[in-house]
Amino acid sequence: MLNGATGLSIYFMIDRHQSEIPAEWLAEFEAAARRPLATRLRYAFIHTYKPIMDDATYRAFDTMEEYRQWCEKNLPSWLGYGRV
Amino acid sequence: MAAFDYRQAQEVGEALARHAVRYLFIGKSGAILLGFPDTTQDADLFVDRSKENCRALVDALRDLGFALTGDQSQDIERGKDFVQLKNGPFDLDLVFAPDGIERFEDAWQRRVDVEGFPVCHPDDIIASKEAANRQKDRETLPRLRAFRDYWLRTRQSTR
Repeated sequence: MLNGATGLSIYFMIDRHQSEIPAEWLAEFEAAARRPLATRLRYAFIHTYKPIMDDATYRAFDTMEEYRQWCEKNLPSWLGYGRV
Repeated sequence: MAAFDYRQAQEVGEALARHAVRYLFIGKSGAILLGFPDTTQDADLFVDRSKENCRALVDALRDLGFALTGDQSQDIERGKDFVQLKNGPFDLDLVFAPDGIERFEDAWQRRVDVEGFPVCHPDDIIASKEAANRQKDRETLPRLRAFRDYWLRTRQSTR
């Protein structure tokens, strides 16, 4: 049994990250790590139509702030581009 | 429009290397290259906004098949903060000043090489999403932070 300062330091040394990752996510990360990069990309990149956003072939903004404001003003909120 | 795939990622890598463009994959596409299991629609590149680099980027984008007009090329050469391209073989976002990252050079020093692809360190990807603070970032961040922790642990264990 661990006790006192020694036990506490060992607890933090074990792997503070591992214990904080939910099991379901950890399983997903490990499964992804076993896949070749080409497969990971094939699973990851999907094309779905985003209204307004996909209706122009080119956009440019002088500042990120200008881009963020454009998103908030023009895109449907459910796309999630609005700042919290 | 077909989704971005491995062959296109290779073409991006080859074209940008041919023109000696300094860039990093960032955003969710960068995280995915690092192994983050999630979905996205387009690739995001964080580009060094030096004049020479931006000129080289325009040449590389033309090689890749992006139909850039003169004005659009000038936008890129001037290094506007954000350029969204949907006029090529795949969707590409060019970010010259991502939220949460002070200088390209800093991110470049921390970059991760993934099979030849230069990718932002997960800490930088997280920092940019935290700073952007959009609803979709808020939804992604807890899982992305967990992935960063997993990635760091597995990286340490293989050293």
